[in-house]
This record gives sequence, structure tokens and C-alpha cells, in this order.
Amino acid sequence: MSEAMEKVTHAGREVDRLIFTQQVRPTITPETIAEHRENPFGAGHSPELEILLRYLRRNPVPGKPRYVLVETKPYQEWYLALHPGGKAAPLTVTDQRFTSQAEAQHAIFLARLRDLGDPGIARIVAETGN
Amino acid sequence: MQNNLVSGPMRILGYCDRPNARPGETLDFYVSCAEELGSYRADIVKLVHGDLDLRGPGFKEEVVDTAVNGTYAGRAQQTYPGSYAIVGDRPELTPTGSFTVQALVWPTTPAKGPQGIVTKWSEAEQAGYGLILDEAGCLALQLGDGSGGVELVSSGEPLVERCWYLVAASFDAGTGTVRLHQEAVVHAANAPISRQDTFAGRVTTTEHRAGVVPGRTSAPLVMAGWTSRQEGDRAIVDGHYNGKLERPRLSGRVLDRDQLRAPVREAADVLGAWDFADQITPDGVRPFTAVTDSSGHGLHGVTVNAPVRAVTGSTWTGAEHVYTHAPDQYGAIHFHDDDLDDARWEVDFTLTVPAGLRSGVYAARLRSGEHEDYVPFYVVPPKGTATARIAFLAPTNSYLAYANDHMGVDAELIQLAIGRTVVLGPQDLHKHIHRELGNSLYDHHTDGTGVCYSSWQRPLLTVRPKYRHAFGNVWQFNADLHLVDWFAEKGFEVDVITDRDLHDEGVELLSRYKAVVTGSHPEYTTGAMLDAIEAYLADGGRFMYMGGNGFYWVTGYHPENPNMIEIRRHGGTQMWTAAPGEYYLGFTGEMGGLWRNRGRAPQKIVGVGFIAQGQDTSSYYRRKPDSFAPGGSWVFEGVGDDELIGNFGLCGDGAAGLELDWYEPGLGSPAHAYLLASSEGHTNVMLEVRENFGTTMPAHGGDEQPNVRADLVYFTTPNDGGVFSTGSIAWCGSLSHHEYDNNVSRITENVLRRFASDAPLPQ
Repeated sequence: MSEAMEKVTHAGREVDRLIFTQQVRPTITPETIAEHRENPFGAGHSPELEILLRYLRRNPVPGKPRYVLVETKPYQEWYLALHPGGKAAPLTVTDQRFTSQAEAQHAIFLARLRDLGDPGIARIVAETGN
Repeated sequence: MQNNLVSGPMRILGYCDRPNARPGETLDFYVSCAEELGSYRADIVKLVHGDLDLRGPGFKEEVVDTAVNGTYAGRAQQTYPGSYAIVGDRPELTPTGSFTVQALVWPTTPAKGPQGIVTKWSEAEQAGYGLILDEAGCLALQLGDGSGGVELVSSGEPLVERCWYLVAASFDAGTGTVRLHQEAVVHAANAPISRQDTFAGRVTTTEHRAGVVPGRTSAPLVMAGWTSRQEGDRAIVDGHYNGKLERPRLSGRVLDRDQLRAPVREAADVLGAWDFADQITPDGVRPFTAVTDSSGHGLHGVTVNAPVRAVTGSTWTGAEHVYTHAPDQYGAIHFHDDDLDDARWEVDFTLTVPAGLRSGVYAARLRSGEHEDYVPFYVVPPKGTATARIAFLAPTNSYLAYANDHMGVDAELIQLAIGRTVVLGPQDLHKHIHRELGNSLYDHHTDGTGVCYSSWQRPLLTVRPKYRHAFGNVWQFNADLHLVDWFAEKGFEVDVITDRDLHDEGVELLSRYKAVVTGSHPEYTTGAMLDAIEAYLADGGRFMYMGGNGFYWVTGYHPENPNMIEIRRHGGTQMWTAAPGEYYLGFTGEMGGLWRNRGRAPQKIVGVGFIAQGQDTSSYYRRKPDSFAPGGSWVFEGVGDDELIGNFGLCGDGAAGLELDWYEPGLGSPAHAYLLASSEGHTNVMLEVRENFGTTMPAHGGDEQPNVRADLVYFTTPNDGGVFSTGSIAWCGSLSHHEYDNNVSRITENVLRRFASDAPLPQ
């Protein structure tokens, strides 16, 4: 990365840290995790869950893989896969198998929370997630 | 299983060279089949329903007995992406004495590895000369004598990405001296480069006594690459250059800086000089694939794999944006290592469409063991005739625009717009790895620029039955089979016509039909298509617009290849943005972007136009007062006053979703239209489109913004014509719900039966 782009990235991370601390961190609670498990898609989410989802979906943690789902039986079976980023970069298909989209999307939600690397968050996930 | 998924699971693939064929015409099919599979079976099938969703009616096809149904030997076929220009071997291209080779370049990936700028170089023979960017992105001259002697002379100074340079290399035959000239040409507007940058205007010269004299090769002169090897008459090109290239020239002497900059007519010993602006005409770049030599030696060439023309050159000042008005500022071509205009496979079989075969959606089904592919095509009615009262206008331009899109894997943030993590099927995994199959108009090239051309002549893995888009819903081709299936279930006899047919035949084609029905997302429209639809409506035609975000992007056809389209994205809701000065289509010379920004908003034609998109969940419509008015209530016959319309369906569980259109008189929706129903209850992923508001302000999501809704509209047109618009891509996904007995199906049927009848339309 060029020196100029490193400055850009650094500046962005500093701002994002503030956003996380003030806006996002307070939304990571057993309640929002339970809410997502019940309704991982669409309408009816609390404002707190929406803030959290939008933060997680922009993959804010550098160095962590992107999650994708690979469909192995149409509309019936999916595996979690990791995308290292980049055109044509081979995906790593894990052995984590799902038989419902809701279950798969929730598992990725929990994985992204763990990827934040905060022991306090990991503890909340361990206690309330599944 | 998992290795297979990662390497790309499709072992058999095919394409045909156009989407439409009439009975009696032939259609060539090209197939690549993994050698270890041995052979494959081909059958022509009629496609009826392609969505595998367990809640829907499931897959439906019917085998059609034709002469090509049978077993074929499998063979793997190679695809060679990457654009270049090529001039066949001629003596002038191999100077016997001193020479200079020069060009203006704007490299977009100088660090990607060696790339040819102007070469007459055979990699296989290690012979000839080549002006190139070397491994480190520096200007270099490569010389090879064909007997093992090879020398590379480098400037040692990497070129800066997206900065124009005058680059040249001369070879002095008397002394063996190679001289390199590398000059940064930074003007106020010709690049996203500041004139204050430290490298602006810098000239680097390098001299080196070479020990090699370039040897003769029969390889062609290649611009933006070099000849890897020759297979028969065909040069296989490698070393693809990413970026713009302008005014390449070959001279039979050593040139100094002033001579490098002199116009061709004032220069001495010019062997070949190519000014790409020479093809610019008032109607676009013609012939699009030609490059011509202005030296007088007639060293004319062609471009391969459709590099982008009508792009700003080194002299662009920022004052003129219409390339046809200032050709001299548009003398560049932008090459990409992933351009593809034609996979150029060998033909496997040729179908003669049987006389009497009913117009419809068909495919060549290719199978070998568990491996399978479908190559869809449309049988259109015999020329000059209609074989039904209703036509389905298959939006083949829109299928092309999305063909092989990589948004699910390349656009990391798309999960924000779809409200979920992407789901990849076999076709997605295959095209992720096999980039040689080319891009969609939603992708970026490897150098980050947007893709503006798409061709039918390659495997189009998104244009397939059974395919579901990575965003989680069936989309485009397969989504439109929802409608095709519904026609069959309801007993409607329907002809199929394509965008290309409409463009070529105009209103005459439409006028043979009592009613014309669109697909779910007819987004990419030529001016001729809009003219035809408007003329049809003015003369009593009846038009059902069955989707959302239609008639949106200005689209042009290649002047020589009828199955290739171009767009330039600006001013709309878009995955990329055309560079300054590059808003005009190279194919036609007209301004690209939105039809709305050319005074032809879709509201003026079909009563509604794009207002919002978001692909998390879909919603329902609620009836509005006009649906109870005498002129509008007929649409709702059999539907209860308080019924929610379409609170079910295969596309996000609702009929209003994915992309929505609204009724907006301010943009030209006819004032006399009936606003029959509007959707509600959208989420904050369903966001108002960016062209709809001026300054930034909050509240653009469906949970806060009342403009974010689909409007169901009906209005009459002169001479007993009419328009019915659903305003939502998801609408057709609800047709099959509850055994086709539901209010979306009922409304659609009420309208189509009335439109297709001879009875006058309610005013």
C-alpha cells in the first residue's frame, strides 16, 4: 500500500473506533443477539440491531476473512466459506453446514461479533449465542 | 466435494452466438466439456419454469425432438481474454536499420508484471522487439535475435499509475545503442494527477549499448500485448497491458524529443503511425474494430476483444465532453487484460430451428453424467408474422448487462444492500475462478475501471434456468420464467420477441400484437426501442410493464456485432462511474447514462420509474382510491376491498420488492393515470435512488421515507391503447403462489385478458 493510502486507512480507522465506541458497542447485548436469532432478515428489527448489523456488514475488522455461503443443495443445504478477497481468489469451504438460511445467517452474525476481538463481547456471545 | 467447489464445479459449458432465431434459421452452439468426461448429451428443451425454490412449482422443461439431439464427443475449449490491436506481419514492421518505437501511455496497473505496449515480439521464438513495461513497471525495450540472444533495457524508473507518459525507445543500428525516453505529461485535466505532484513533467532518458540486434519474426505487430505463439493464422497474445494507449508510431531512424513530438505529416521516415481518432465519426467509432495507419504504408489493423474506445486522451482539456466534437482529444484506446468480445470456440453443433416450432423460450441442455449446463435461446416468430395475440418482450439487453456478474464475490459491501451474506451456487463459484468468461456491466476490470461492454458470444452463467443470484433471489432470465410458466398455466398463447428484434424491427414488430408484456427488469434500452414502444402506445398498443427499474440506462449496440451492448454509467444509481469526459457511447456517439437525464424518463412511457432498491425482504401493496373508481376497478375484479396485494411470493416473500418504481407526475407520469395500489412496510435497506434527490439529508430508507414504494398504475393511451405497470421486480415471483390462485395472479390475469381482447379499454 502506498504511503498516501496508509494515511487514508489510518484516518478512517480512527474515526471508526469512535463510531464503534459511541454507537455500536452499546448495541452488543444479549437482547440484540437473541433478536437476531429470532429474525435474522428484514423488517421489524430494533434500531439497536440495525446499527449493529450495518456495522458488521461493512466488515470493519482488518485481516479477518469475508464470510460467504456456498449452496450445495438448492434451497436446502449450505456451507460456510471464507473469501480471502481478490478476483478469482480461491474460497475456503469450511465444514460448517447449515440446513436453513436463518441458521446460517445467524452463525455468521455471531462469527463477526467474535471477530471484533473484544473479550467482553466474546463473553456475551458465548453466553447468549448458539 | 469441497475441492471441486473451490476450483469451479462446472465441467461442461456452452453458448450460442445470439439470443434469437426464427424457424428455419440456424443457430451455432459451442461447447467445452472436460476431456475426462468423454462425451456429452445435447437435447433441445422448451423451458417453462426454472426456479428451484421448494415453495414454488419447481423445475419444468419439455424435450423437443430435433436433429441435433444426440451424443457428442467432449473437448475442452480455451478462452483467451484480454484486448489488443494487431497489425499483420509486413516488411516495414521489421526495420533493417535504426528505428524508434513510441506511444503515449496511461498505465493503470504498471506494477502487475511485464506488459506489452507496442511489440513485434514472439515469445516462442524470443525474437523481435518490444516496447514494454517491465516487471517493475518501468519503460523497457526488449530485443531478441531469435538465436538465444535476448536483452532488456529498462529506464529503471517505474511509471506512475494513471499518469500520461510519452514513451519511446530507439535502436541505433550503427552503434547498437538503445535510448529510452520516458516523459510524464501532466495537464490540468488529463488524469487524476495533480500538477503539483513531484513527478509531473519529469523526463527520464536512458542510454545503453545493446549486445543484441533484433531478429526477424513473422509475429504480428501487437499493441497492448505481445505474441505468445502462433496457432495457424491466429496469434495467441499474452503480456496484456492495462491502460490507455495513444498514437503509437514506428519510425525508421533514431528520433530526438522534438521529433518524437512532431506531427506525423512533419516527421521523417515514418514506417507506421496509428491515430485511433481516425475512426471517430458523428455516429460513433466506425468501423469500431479498425485501427488505421496514416504513414501511407497501409499497415492497417484491427482490435480484438473490444478494448474501450471513445475515451479521453493525453490532450483532453476538460472543456469538451462530446468525443465526436473533438476527435483529436479522444485519440486513445483503453485496453484491459480481462476484456472479451467473443470466446471464439469451435462450433459443436448447429441447430436448424424446425419449421413450425412454436415461438418460446428454449435451451440446449448439455449433460454428461452429473454435470449439466443449459444454453438458452428464443425462438421468435417467422419474420413479418405474429403467431399469437400477445408478445412477451424478453429483456435480453438486461440479461447481457448482468451476464456473469461478480458482485457476490467482488463487491464486498453489497451485503449492506441485500441485508444478508451472499449465497453462492455452482455458477457463481465457477465464474469467480474462471474470469476468462468475461464480465458484466456491474463489474470492474482488473484495473478498477468499470466494464461498459457485454457480449452474448460466451458462456453466460447467470442466464440459466435453475440459477439463483448470489443476492438470494432468482433474477432476470430465470425470474422471467416465473412469467413464462404463468402464461402456460393460464393458457395464454404468447410469442416471444427480444430486445434485439425490437431494436431492429421497431413499432412494426409490436403492432402485430394486441398486447405486449415485459419481463421483470427491462432496464437497458436503446433509443430505437423507446421509439418503438411509444409509437405502439400512440397507435392503440397495450403494454404491460411487469417489473421495476425499467427503461433506465441508455444502451447502444455495437455497429458491427449485433449481440454486443455498451453503456456509460453516470448520473444514476450505479456500481461504477464513468470517468470525466467519457459519458458518450463509443458504439453510437450518443450520450450514455439515464434516459431520465436525456428527457425520456420511464414515467412518460410506462407511468412509473425507478425510486428505490433493496434486496432484503419484499412487501405488499394496499389498494388506493383509484382501484375503486369505475375506470380502475375492473383490474381488481375478484379481489377484496381490504386485501393486501401480494403479501407472499418467491422473491423475498412479497410482490413489492428488489427494485421499485413510483408514479411521479413531475417526471412525466400521465395525470390521467389510475394509481391503483401502493406498497408499504419497506425496510431501511430499501433506499431511495440517488438521482432522486439533490443535496444530502437523512431519511431515505423505506422505514422513514414515504416515496419509497411501488405504485401499481393503469392508464389509457390514444386509439384504445393502455399501459399497466406493476412497479416492482418481485411481482412475477408471486404469480404461482397457492397454485396460481392469488390476488397478484388475479390482477395480472384481469389485465392481460382485457388487454389481449378486442374489447375497448375502460377509460
